[in-house]
Formats: sequence, C-alpha cells, structure tokens
Amino acid sequence: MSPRPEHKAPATELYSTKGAAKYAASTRINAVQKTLAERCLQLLALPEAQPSLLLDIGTGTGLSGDVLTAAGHHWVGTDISQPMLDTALENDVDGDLVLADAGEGVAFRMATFDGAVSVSAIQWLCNADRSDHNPHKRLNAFFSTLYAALTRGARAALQFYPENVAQIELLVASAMRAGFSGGLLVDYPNSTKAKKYYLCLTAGPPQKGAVQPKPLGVDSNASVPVGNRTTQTTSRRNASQQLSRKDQVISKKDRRRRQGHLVRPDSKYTGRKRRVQF
Amino acid sequence: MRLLTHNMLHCPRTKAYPLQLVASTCDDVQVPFSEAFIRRMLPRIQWEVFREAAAQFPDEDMLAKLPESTPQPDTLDEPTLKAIHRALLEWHVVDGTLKAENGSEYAVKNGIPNLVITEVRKESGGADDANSGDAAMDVDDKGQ
Repeated sequence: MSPRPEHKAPATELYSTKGAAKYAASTRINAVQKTLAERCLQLLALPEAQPSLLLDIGTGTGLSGDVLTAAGHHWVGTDISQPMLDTALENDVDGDLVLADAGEGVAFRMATFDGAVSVSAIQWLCNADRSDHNPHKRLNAFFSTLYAALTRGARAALQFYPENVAQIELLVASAMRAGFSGGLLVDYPNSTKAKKYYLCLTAGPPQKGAVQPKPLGVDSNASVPVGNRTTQTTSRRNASQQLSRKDQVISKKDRRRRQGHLVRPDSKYTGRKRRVQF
Repeated sequence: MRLLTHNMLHCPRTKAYPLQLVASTCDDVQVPFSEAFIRRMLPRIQWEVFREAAAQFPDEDMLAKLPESTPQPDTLDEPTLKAIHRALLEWHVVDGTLKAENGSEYAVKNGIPNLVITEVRKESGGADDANSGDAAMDVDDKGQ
C-alpha cells in the first residue's frame, strides 16, 4: 500500500512549487476532486437558484471552487500552501483566495457563510507536523471557528480520507463538541475504492423537517462507478486469447522492432513449433 | 482580495475586527452582476468598514455613489446596487497590508492575504517557501 501523503511531509512541503504543478497536471486527481466537490455541494442542500457565499477549506488549485462557480455561487477559498494558491491564480479561479492554516481556526467573523465545503483536506489536521502541533487543539480551533463563521442552520460538507477508525471518531467528536449536529456519511460503503467519507454537519440544532442526506450505493443493486481500468485489462486479455500463437509472436516482434531492438526477419517458420528432437 | 472578503476577515490571533486595509496596488476584474446576491450580502456587511476600505480605491465617482450609511433594502435602486456590486466584488487589492489593532500585520501579496500565524520554518521551507516564510516572519516580529 502506498504511503499516505500525510505521512510523507507537512502540507506546506509536499505541495511546494513542484508538488502543486504535479497535482494540477494529473487528470485523474482533477476528475476525482471534481466529483467529490460536486457531491459536497449536493450535500449542502442549498436552496435552488439562490446565489450563496460559500467557504472552501483546502481549496488547493481551485478545482472544487470551479464547481461552486459553475453552480452560480460566490466562494472564498483557504489553503495552507502558497504554491497551490498560485496555481489557482494561474487557473483564473473566480473565488477569493486566502492563505491560512485551518488548524489555527477560520479567520472569518460570525455568521458570514451560507455553507462550507472541503475536499480531501481535514485529515491533515489529525497530524502533528511540528512539535507545537496538537491535533486535538487544532481540530477544536477549526470546528469552533467554522461553527461561528457559518450562518445558523447552514451546512458544512467535508470530504476526507481517514487513516483509521480513531481518526473518524476524533473528527466527529470535535465537530460535535463545537456544537454541530449531523455526523458521518459514507458513500459506497461496500466498495474499497469508491468508498468516500463525508462529515455532513449543520451549524445549530437539527432542524425539524430537514431531510437527512442519504449515502450513495447502499442498495444492493446500486452500481458502484467503475473506472476504465478493470474493463481495459479484461478486454486486453480477451484479445490476446483470441490471437493465434503465430500472431502473438509477430506482434511481439513488431513491438520489439518499434523499440529499436535487433529482431530476426519474419519467415514462414515464424511462430512454428520446433520438431521433436532426440 | 475583494472588499467582500476583507469585510468578513478578522484577526486570526485575537479575533479583533476590523483589520485596517492599506492597499498599494489595486485591480479591477469584471464579475457578472447578480442583484439577488448583493441583496443577500447587505445585512452581513459592516458598512463603516466597507466605506473606509472602498476609499482606498482611486475611483471617486463610484465612491460617491455608495450610500453614506447602511442602506435599507427597500430604498435601493439599480445604480446604487451596481455601485455596491462593483466595490464589493470587482475591486481587488493586489498588494497591501492588513493591520490589526494590537499591531499585528498581515501581508497581502498577489491578491492573497497571508493569515498564517506561526511562521513557516525557513530552513525546511527551501527556496520556494522562502518568500512566504519571510512575510510570515515579519508579521510575527511585529505582533510581539
């Protein structure tokens, strides 16, 4: 299993100029982040056709912000990494960007935002990157200031990648202590890859009549979105089974030729079995 | 940084409000006008702070169009709403500083305010982070 990014280096180091460029250039990451941001926006359950002011925590290169802009909302994005925000500026995002550490609290005054989203960011708060970092304190600072910065009844949909059950419990407990209602939502709980965790929180007591969001993919017949990868490998295997021994050898020789290796010319004996010798 | 964002920010260290804005470079970016959004934002805006920050911008005519005191939603006409929209969302502070009452200063660079309290360590930051590290260190020195 590949090491988690949180274990490699602090966010400010990992997403340095090089890291930010690598992140922005990866189409797979872009696609995943976009889907997650769309799901977060859906979980906020904002009233239809009402432009709102939203907060995006860990906005990075502004991928999630683009989703918010497309839905007609204004947003402010915060991130700890300057190079990531610089990349966002280059991408010409429509929201305002602020360099801030979420673990030091959200630096916005009371009842400012109609909602908050976050894609793959808050698990970083569970890590102590420096000797003076205390995850409990940082999480409490984050959730209590986030609670204050949201209007009453506003929602926060925070997608994250927990490392273990203890982290989930820590995050949920911190959020509840800050006064949020709501809790954890798991999409595609039976899948290893498509499984995604969201903290779906409401600032203030739970409202009567409010519909609780439903996780995706809990019905047995619901289909898990499958990437192209599995289908590709199976089709390739089928194709190679259909090819005859001779065709396989010829295609392999062609490939080697294209790679610039010295390959014997094809003849009528190519791909034939040798006769049995005693 | 837009004036809307400035209006919402407080000092991350002390929660002091407002942060005094000193803008050295400004920019103007067109944003589609939405009356519904401006009307929605009006009750959340601290009008005094907004007027003071808007005075930093060179456009005097536009400043004259902004109401003196907190406007009542019913009395607003479209030109006033458009003026508010322009000042709130289209004017950007590119470079400048945000000053809190207790003397803390937060730099605004390239339109991004730096509100990180503890400085980014310079030796581990390497060349790319040296600039942001410097800014954060300045802030910290003045804050103490």
